[in-house]
Amino acid sequence: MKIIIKKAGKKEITKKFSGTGKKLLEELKINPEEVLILKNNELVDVDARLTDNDNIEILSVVSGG
Amino acid sequence: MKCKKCKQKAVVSGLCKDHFVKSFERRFYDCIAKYKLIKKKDKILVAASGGKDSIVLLYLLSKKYKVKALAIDEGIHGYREQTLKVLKEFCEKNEIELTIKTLKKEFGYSLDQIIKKTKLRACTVCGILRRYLLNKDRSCDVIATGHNLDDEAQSILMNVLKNQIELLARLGPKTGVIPKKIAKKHFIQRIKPMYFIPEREIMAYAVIKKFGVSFTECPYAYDSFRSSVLEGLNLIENKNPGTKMNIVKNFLSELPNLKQKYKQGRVGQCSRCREPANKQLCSACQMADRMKKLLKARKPL
Repeated sequence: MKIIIKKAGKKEITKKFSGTGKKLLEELKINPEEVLILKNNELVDVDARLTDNDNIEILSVVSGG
Repeated sequence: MKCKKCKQKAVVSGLCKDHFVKSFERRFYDCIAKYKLIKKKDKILVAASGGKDSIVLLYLLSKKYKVKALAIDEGIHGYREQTLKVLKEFCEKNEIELTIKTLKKEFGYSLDQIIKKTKLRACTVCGILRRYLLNKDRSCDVIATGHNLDDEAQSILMNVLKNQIELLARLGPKTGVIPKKIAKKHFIQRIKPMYFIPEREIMAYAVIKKFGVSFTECPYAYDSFRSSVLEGLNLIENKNPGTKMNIVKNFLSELPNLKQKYKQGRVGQCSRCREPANKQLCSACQMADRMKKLLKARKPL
């Protein structure tokens, strides 16, 4: 699974994962309250099921200013 | 998870896209109506940065009211250029008049230069100078800001943690309500139509509406007391959903008492620039003096 994390800068990681968005955020130690998840460019709930074939974006909701 | 109102998939806050958008817009306009934030003939100035909050605010206000936008370019490299680009494109597309003022032009230095050469806190300098420039625009009846539920819950908590209870009386969906005679001449009322909307939902709305807002975070955001409160509050909210709303609602029920207890006395005028001030000099002039001392600034206020 390709994951782009847009939080405190942009970083891209590849990770083997299958499970809910919530579980993925837990593994990445990211608070769900501070991000949104986009699965293949579509906004999804944290309970949505993600598979290894998905492109995931984790988008920070904190912008400041 | 299914939407609470239909059989579609939920995308945020237990709602599908359509029901979320409806709920979001209803709460936005309900807040304006409930707190009488805007009168029919009001000229509205939106304090805009090009971030998600101000873009969503501009979009929803411009659907029903005549608005213009004012942006302050603090000069934060790698951050402000991106958000201003989004803002310019948005205003052009939606035919909204946009004015951009820069700290460099108004005060002689950009925020980056100030922070690099002094030990001043970025958020303090930025807050004071931005407020000063915003308040100088007297072409409107109200200034709308993109403050949301998270911002307000953080501000309440920050004032409690810093033992500045008297400052709580200055918060709320409508601020700067001082005697009308002075207000009209020297201080424009601030309104916060997104007062009850969580930051996460504002970003979700911007994503759904495809506003193309930048995900960039202010590089100075991590340098503030606010960022520690934000992080702590988000940890609590994640384990106890509804915490931020409880803080704000409890605060609102106490606000009339706080306003009574910490009644704002006569608001004076800065002896140098004539802006509202509680001391001889306003905060911006005091800040300009500190900067001048530290930077040998070429440009006084």
